[in-house]
Amino acid sequence: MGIRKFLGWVMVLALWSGAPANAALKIDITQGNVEPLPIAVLDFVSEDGVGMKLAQVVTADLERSGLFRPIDRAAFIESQVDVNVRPRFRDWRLVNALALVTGRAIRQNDGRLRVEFRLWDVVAQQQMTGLQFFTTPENWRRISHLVADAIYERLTGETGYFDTRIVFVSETGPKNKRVKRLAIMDQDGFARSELTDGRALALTPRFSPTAQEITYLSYYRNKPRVYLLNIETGQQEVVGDFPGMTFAPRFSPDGQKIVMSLERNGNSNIYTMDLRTRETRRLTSSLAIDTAPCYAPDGGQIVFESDRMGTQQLYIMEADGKNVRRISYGEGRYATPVWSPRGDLIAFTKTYKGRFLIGVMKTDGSGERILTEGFHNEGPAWSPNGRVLAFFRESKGADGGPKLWTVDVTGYNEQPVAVEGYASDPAWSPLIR
Amino acid sequence: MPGLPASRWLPSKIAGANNPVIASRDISASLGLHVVLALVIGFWTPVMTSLDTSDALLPVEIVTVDEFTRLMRDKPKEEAEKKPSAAKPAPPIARETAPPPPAPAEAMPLDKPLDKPLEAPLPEPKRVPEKTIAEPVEKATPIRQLRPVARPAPPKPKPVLDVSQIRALLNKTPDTPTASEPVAEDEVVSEKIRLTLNEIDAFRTQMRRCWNPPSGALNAEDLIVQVRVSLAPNGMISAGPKVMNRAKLGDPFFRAAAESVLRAIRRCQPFKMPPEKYAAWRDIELKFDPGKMLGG
Repeated sequence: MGIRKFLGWVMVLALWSGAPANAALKIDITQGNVEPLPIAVLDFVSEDGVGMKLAQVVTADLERSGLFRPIDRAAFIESQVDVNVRPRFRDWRLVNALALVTGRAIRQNDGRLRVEFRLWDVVAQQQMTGLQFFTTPENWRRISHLVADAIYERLTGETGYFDTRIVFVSETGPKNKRVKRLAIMDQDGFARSELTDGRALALTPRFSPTAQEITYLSYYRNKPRVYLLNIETGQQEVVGDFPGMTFAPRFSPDGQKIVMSLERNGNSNIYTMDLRTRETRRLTSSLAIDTAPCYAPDGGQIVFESDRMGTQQLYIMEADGKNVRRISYGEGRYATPVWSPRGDLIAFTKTYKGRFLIGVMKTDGSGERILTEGFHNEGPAWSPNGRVLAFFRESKGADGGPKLWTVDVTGYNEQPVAVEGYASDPAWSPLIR
Repeated sequence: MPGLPASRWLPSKIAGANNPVIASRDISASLGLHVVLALVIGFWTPVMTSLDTSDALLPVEIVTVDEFTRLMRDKPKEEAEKKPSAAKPAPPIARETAPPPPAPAEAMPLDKPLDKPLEAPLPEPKRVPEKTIAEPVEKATPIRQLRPVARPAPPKPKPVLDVSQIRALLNKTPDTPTASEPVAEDEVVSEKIRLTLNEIDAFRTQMRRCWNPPSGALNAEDLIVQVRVSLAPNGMISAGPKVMNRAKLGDPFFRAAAESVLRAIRRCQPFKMPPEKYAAWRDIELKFDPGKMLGG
C-alpha cells in the first residue's frame, strides 16, 4: 500500500479519537462552598435509650471535626427511622441535609449490644455504607466513635480518628507547686483515668505505635530520665542507663526504638535505644543543644531542633544521623517539631516577638502556615490521620494554667478539649483498631 | 463496525477500532493501524494506563455513584475478616457490613420481619471477642454531668483579630470570585451560539453555591473531577451526571470528591440558563478543581 494511504488512516484515526462525540460546553469550576457538610443523625432506635446516647456521641464527634454540620434535631420531620426502611429523602432535602444517618441498637439474648447503622446520600437517594457492630453494652461509647469514624471515612475519604485516646499531663495544685500526673482519656474528653500517682513529676508522654505503651519523662533521684509505661499493666521502667539526663523521648514508627536527647556538660545530643537489644546509638555530636527528635512515619528520617547555628531551628537528618540539613528559615525560633503521620507536614512551636505560635511546614521547610497563636501555645501532637493537631494553651496570671485544644490542619477549626482542670502535653494514640 | 477483535479487550474509549477503517482488507494498513493504536495508547493518553489496575475492579463503562457504592459495599467485611489475624489485642467489637436495605419501591411494610434481611446473610462472627482491652472505663463517671463539657455551647473564645484565620478564609473565598478563573478558553462554540462570559459566570455562581467539596486530601490536584451532564430546556438534568475521569474511583479521596460533585449537580437543578441559547448548553462538560480552595 502507498504511504499516502497509510497516512490517510492515521489522519482519520487521529480525528476520531481527538474529537468529542458532540461539542459540549466546557466550564471549569474552581470555587465551591467550603462549609461543613450538613448531616442529619437520627436517634438510633432502641428500647432503653442507648440509641439516643449513641446518636449524640456520633453527632458530637462529627461536629467537632469541623467538617460536618449536624442539623438541629428540632428541624427533623421524623425523629426516628427504622434502619431497614428507606428514608423519605424528600423530607430530608427539605431540611437541607446532604447526608442522613439511621440506626438501631438491640440487646441480644447473649447480653451483647448490637448496633446497626446506615449512611444515606440524601441527594443521590442511596445508601453509602451500612455496618453493624457487636459489643458489651457498657462499651457503647466506643461503638459511637466507630460509627462516627465510618461516616467520616466514607464522606471524606480520610481515615477517621474518633476511636482514639489522648494521654496528657494532668496538672493540679498552685502554680508554684504543681502536681503533674499522666492521665488518659478518649479523644472527646470522656473516660478519663490517671496513670501515675503524682509523686514524681511526669512530662512529655508519647504513645507507642501499639497504643499500649507510653514513653515519658520523669524524675529518678532528682534527675530527669526517660521511662516506659505499659498502660495496661502499669509496669514502668527506665530507658537505658545513661550517665546524664535523658529527655524528649519518642518512639520510632515500628515501636522498636526510642529516640531521645542525652544531656552532658551543657550540650545535648540525640540517641536511639533499641528496646529489644537495649543497644544505644549516638546520632548527633554537636556542641549545641540538639533535642526534640521525631521520626518520619516511614522511619527513614528524623526531624529535630538545634541551636547549632545560633538560634533554635529545625533540622532533618537520615535515621542514622547522616546528612543533617536545616529546614526552618523564617523569623523567630522553632521548636518541638512533629512529623505528620501522613508524612506531608511538620508541625512546630514557634516563638516570635514574645508570642507562641503553632504552625506547619512542608518537610523541605517550605509552605509555612501558622495555625494558631497567642500568649502561650505549645506541644503540638498529630491525630493519627494527620488532619488535626492537639496542643496546650496556657492562660496568663497567677491562677492561669494550661488547657488542651485542637486545631484542624486548615487552621480554621479550633476547639477546646473537654478536660476538667489543667492539662498539658497531649499525645494522641494511634487508631485503636 | 464490530469487526475488530481488539475492541473486546480495549477500553471502549480507545476502541477507535469501531471505525469503518477496519474494514480494509489491506493487511499493511491494518498493521499500521495497530502501530498507531499502540502509539495512541502508549503516548497520547498516558492517563489510560492507570485504567489497567482499576479495570480489574471496575467495569469499563463509566461508573456512577450508585454503582461504585455497590462495589464498595463488601469491603468492610474483608477488613473485619483480616482483623483477628493481627497480633494486636482483639478489639471488643465485631464489625460487619449490613446488607443493602430493601428495594426502594416497596418502602418495606413494617409487618415484615425486619430482622431478617440483616441477620440472614451475616453469621455470628466466630471470633466474638470478650472484652480484653483493659481500657480505663469511666464506670463511675456520670454521663449527665460530663455531657455539657463535651459539647461546649458558647462560641469559642477567639482573639478579636486572628490573622491566621483571616488568612485561611481569604484562601477559600476570594473576593473576586471569577477573576482568577480561566475564562476565555472555557467556551466551546456550539452551532454558532455561544454563552457570554456573564452567562457562564452566572452558571458558575449557581454551581458554587451547591458544591460542598470535601477538604483535606493530601494532593488536592489529584481531586479534579470531570463530569458530563446533559440538560433539558427547563434546566433539569436529562442525562448524567457522569464522571469522566473515573480511573481513580478506587481511591477513597477521589470517590468522596466525585460524589460531592455529583451531589452538587443534582442539587443545583434546575439551572437558570438563557433558553434561547439551549443548543449551547444542552451538553456540558464540567471540570471541578478544588485545588485552589483546599489545603493552602
